[in-house]
Amino acid sequence: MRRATFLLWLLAAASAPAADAPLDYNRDVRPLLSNRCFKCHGPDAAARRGKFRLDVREEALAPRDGLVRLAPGRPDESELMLRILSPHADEVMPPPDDGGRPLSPAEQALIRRWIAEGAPYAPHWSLVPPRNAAPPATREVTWPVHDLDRFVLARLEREGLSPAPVAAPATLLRRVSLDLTGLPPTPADLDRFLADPSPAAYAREVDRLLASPAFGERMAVDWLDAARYADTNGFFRDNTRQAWPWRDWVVDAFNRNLPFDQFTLEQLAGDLLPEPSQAQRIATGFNRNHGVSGETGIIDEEYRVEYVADRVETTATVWLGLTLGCARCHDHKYDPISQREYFGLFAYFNGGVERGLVNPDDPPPVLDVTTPGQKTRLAELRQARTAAERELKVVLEPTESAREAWTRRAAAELGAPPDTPLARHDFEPPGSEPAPGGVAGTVHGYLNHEGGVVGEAATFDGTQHVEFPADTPLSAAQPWTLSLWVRPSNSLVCLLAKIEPAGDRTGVEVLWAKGQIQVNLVDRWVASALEVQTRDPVRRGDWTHLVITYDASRRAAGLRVYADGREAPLQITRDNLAGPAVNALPLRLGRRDSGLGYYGQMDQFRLLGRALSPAEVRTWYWGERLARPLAAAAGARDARARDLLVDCFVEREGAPALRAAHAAAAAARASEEEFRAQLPKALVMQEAAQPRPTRVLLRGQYDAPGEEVRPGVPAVLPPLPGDAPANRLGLARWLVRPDHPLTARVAVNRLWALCFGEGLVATANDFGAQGALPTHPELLDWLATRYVASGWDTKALLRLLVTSATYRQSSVAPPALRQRDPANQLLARAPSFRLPAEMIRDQALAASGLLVARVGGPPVKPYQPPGLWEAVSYNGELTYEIDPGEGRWRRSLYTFWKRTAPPPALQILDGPTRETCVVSRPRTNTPLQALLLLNDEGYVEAARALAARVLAPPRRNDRARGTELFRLVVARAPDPEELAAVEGLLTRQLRRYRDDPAAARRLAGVGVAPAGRDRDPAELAAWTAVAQTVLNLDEAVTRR
Amino acid sequence: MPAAPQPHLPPGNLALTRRQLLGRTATGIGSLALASLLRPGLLAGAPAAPHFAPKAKRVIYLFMHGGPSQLDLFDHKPDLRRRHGEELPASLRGTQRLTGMTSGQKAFPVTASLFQFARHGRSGAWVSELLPHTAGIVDELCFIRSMHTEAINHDPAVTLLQTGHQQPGRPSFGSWASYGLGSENRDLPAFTVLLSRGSAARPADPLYARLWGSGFLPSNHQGVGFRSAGDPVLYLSNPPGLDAATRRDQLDTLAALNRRAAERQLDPEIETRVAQYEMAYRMQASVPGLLDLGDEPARSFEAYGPQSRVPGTFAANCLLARRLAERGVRFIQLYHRGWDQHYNLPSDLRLQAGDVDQPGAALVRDLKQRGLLDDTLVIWGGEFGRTTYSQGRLEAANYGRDHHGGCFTLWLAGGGVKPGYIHGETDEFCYQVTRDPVHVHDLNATLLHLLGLDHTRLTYRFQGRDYRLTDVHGRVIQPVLA
Repeated sequence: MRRATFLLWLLAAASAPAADAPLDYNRDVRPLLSNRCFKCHGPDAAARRGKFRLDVREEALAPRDGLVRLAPGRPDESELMLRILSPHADEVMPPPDDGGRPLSPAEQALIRRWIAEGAPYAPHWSLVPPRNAAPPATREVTWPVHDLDRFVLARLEREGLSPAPVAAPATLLRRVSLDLTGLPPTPADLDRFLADPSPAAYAREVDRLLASPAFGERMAVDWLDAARYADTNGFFRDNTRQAWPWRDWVVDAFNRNLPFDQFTLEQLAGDLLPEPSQAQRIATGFNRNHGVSGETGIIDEEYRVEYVADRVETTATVWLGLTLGCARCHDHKYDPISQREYFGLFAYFNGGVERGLVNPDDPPPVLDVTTPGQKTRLAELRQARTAAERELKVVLEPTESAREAWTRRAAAELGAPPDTPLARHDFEPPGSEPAPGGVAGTVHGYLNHEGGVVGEAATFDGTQHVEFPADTPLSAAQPWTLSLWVRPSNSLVCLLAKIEPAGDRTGVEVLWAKGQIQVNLVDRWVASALEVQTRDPVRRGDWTHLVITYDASRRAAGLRVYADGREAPLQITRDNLAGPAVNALPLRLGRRDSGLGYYGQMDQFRLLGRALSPAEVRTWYWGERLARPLAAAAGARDARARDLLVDCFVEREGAPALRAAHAAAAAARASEEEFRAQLPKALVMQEAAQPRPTRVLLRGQYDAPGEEVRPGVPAVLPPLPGDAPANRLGLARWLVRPDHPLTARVAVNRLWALCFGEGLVATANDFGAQGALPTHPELLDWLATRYVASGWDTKALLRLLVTSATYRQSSVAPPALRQRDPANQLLARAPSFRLPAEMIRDQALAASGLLVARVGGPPVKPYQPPGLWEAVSYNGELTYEIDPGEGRWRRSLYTFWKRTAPPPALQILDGPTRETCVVSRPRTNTPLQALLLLNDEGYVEAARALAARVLAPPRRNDRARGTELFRLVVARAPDPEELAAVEGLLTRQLRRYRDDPAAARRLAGVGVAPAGRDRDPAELAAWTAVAQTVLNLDEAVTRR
Repeated sequence: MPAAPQPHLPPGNLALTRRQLLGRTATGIGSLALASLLRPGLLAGAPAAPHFAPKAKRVIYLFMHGGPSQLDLFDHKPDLRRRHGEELPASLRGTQRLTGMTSGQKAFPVTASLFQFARHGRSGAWVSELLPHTAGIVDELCFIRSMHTEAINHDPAVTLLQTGHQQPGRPSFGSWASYGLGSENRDLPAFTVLLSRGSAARPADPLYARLWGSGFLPSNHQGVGFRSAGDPVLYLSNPPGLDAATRRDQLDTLAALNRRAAERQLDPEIETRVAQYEMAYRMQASVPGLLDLGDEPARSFEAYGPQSRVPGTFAANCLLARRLAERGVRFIQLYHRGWDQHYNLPSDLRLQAGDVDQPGAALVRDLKQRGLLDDTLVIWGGEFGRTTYSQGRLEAANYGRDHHGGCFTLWLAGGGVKPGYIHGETDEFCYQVTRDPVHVHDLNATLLHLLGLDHTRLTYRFQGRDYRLTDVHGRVIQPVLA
């Protein structure tokens, strides 16, 4: 629709240059030349044909090879004109093989007239700083409220039109409430406003809305689209990230009315400000919101370059309104920006500490986000840790020679018990000499090998397992000890199993569930089994030595689990084992029959025929843990190896004082780490210590570097401020210099669009030669200069817009006006348009009373049909789990945004995927939207809660209830005819649900909110059906 | 699956609705929004009609996600048996990029396929023993053995094939088709998506909503997921305890209230809202019938194989694809996951082939029998091929293959494609294309051509540029046209 309106307008503009005034190059001529000629005769030197450049006057006029290509005032002598008119297919311009149609007679005539008028050029309008034009005089003088209205009115008067009457108060209050807060007015708001006819009443409402915390939430939605904000990494496995502290920063920045220049500086370069605050560093998350890939096999630099390019293009779209991405592979074809200049901007974003192939969920660099209290606590913990480490050092140093002596004999003292294993697997590559003793397993599937705890280890990806014969003695009938090194990379996997897949499930299995070890000895499932799991997760991310001992007692007390040589406290789930748990199945490492394939590494499996003592387990752990450090030469040990040796020495040989100091240091480290681990993270920008040089990338490709470039800005725009540092801070300062031609125009255009549905420039993402021209250029400039002069005061500008006479017009338009100006470019009425996805949902939550108005925090998971994440996620392993409580009823901007499976309730209503920068959403109209609003669990629950809300006050008749229903949803009372229609529906549905109480209970039972559960189900169901109908009114989903 | 939108009505119906609209609103100007609802793209300067007479009216895209091994399925290289285990000549690898998974590998042993190949049909096309049913229809198929792509990892490669660009942000093929051609069915979406997971033991690689997203095209061109569990189309079912009669009553009341508002507001777009809800109601009525396979004769299930009775399998999705094609759905996109055989290729590839062989062949036969193959274009293939060398260790009965963009095979059938034809050739190692290379953009240009669309003219203006599915590349591969 918006595109259509744009085209219609373009047609109107292009076909009707005034016959009596000279042509305006920017308005009348450039769009045509840009669209049809500049691709081959414009700024892109490499693509230029016939050595003819038409976008620069001097070059166009320069004769070449005796041909006068453009002769001002003499169209018939201009080669340009002759070629346009040529009847020969090999001569005519534009060339027919270009895929386009020939120029129309009107277009030909336009060019002729332009040449005849002297072929004047003008700089592109948006590259000239805005002028603070005086508001024009108008014939009508009482209508304008602000000067801005005079710009609109003057245009209307020129067109012979007059403004629409002012909108009805209720309509106006609903409009401004939705525009500024994304929420409808409450009945109390409405009553207060309707009761006060004074002109100040509206201004008071506007101030109230601007001061509401909901204002920042509403403003953030558009900014999140532009900043491609999401809660996942986007590519391939699409892991979850913690980006929400940045989102909260945005909400807060709008609410405290952070001036737009500062808003810009902090997001682009907060980390480079002098002594940046935590909030200023979080703000830089703007340029970390792009997707990142963790797909094994991608080329690191290729993706790193994509991330930098994404920043360049997003920054250019959001602040400059320029399609800079077009200049990545070659000079821009329409705007005067060279490829070299593109890489000059690229250089600003190229110096960060980052990688292309990203493994952690939260791609570094990240910041631990603290409240002031947490910050103090963290400092205390850090201090305690360093103090404890210092004390340890004092008592440790004198033991150096003792430690060296111990190191020489340690290997002999530590290690596995002398028992011959019953089964073993060393995970050495095929062809290695098998170690003596014990049955070795058979590998099924292909294992990759790399350095492990002892020798090599194997890497599993869910498709391999190692098998031992069925007579391997692992059951409840005899004692045993299992020893295995594991490093799992998935949260739920089977480490080993000798168990029946179904039926009694007789046998033994060991599982890893988010770091907790589960051990099941089953004779008959439930009836006779021993099931335990470690109470706390064991360490994750590194190798863990896992030992399980069992004394054949068939009691939980006879089973112990050790992690890294220390006994782990167990939680006993079942302790009624009464049989031997013997089966005829093989023992498998890395898989259970029914699945749960193992992902991660394994090393050194042993099965022994007795239950080891804790001391033996500890000695075994140290033996294998220290195998590598002890084997290495003293000088070749890394810090970790040295620490491990100290740990073991202290434990086995240390004097009590040393042991105490060592334990204290370990505890202090653990406290700090634990505290830090639970802090939220924010993705931030951080420059590398060594700046990375930037080179032009030929064809934009990461592996085709050309000449080196310095950070810089395009020559066609103003220069950098003299004192600007050559980094992002300098770039940000340049963007907000008061005379910048683009930044303020682009910003106010978005604010205008927020209040009027469309920008004054219809292409909010393109202020270049291919973009739309402003419908009211002087007004745009007036607003831009005023915005800058106000200190980039966003709330003040919005207050100005929504209190204008232009804004307050009615949206009702007689057919003749609609026909004349279908897209409302002239603003002879207020626009009406379907609400954005978030507003429709938030309105339903607000009207029903379900809305939980908590601001900020981690993302939430409201209702969503099951199966959507499984359908796309790696191996179907991710499941969307609806939040149990208030997460179902928070505002939609807090909904968890998974890029590869975006929330359908927002997607269906034109929400973007958040993979790329979006500054204006399309507005489509599809049957799926109707299905969503009528059938989604969340919307049905909201209708039920809304029904309960209108039913709640005692002694209210159905008419009063119907009236309240309308007031809650569309902020006005129904007329008698509407009320009659609602009552008719209610009567019929009441009868229907009284006849079928079971159906009533089913409908009233949708969702978990308690609202109305104490009412007669038939009454509640009938009113739910009515409430659904009102929530689906065109008026409810439309901003009028 | 992020579902999205949108039936469009055929012209006749559009006219009818317009008359109704004029009669009701008496505004005399019709509704832009209504027109856009009925024929998305109409107002955007899009063709919403072919550029020239199409050979294919609809597409069934059988996407084998993960990269099936051309070496073990179609591109027979008997000489590799002799070289099995030898080091792949470094000169052959040249500067071609390897993925980070094997670029550090010390040895690149040539790995012959473990499977038997035979020639089939009049065309004599080679097909491996893993695809016996496909072997039976080779004379209907047009093999392109010279496909190539510069992308070497899943995410960028699938995104390139389906959107013409390795990075996110562009519209998918199906959404371009919806935008360019609209729908033939007034009650069903123009672009539908059906997903299935393979039987391979190896975990299935992920999919991304962007693969059926509309990029910068209006969102009503997004693919609509047809699901095998829960609501077949998201939110299709009325809430529990609310039956069709209540819904009808609600919609009638809603329409009356909306028309009352239209009188007040003088806004013809309100009539669009009424039409939107009526189309939703019709969709609720028509989709369950479409998905209810109860009316399929037993021989259908026999033809598509036993899995076709199990919802959500590739076989069941093939049967559904035929039913969607019969009802005029423009673009039917299937994704079958699990074709990423880095390891354990012999066992896993057998399982994957077992999933798709019979139903895929049955689909082509079924379409032919019903007279639909002539104007339905069927595509079978993945995002890239696999390496001639083994990833990791080469064993007697086991090997794996890494991603390979240098060459891969896919097949086309029906819809104006030359049947029984084999296009292109690869070298003796199956590493590079040696004759008639077909780039991803060439394939997409050709597929659009078959739909009656000139890939250089199917454009959409975004950020000042006229974007195409084929970017600035692509040429129609004339020899594969019938």
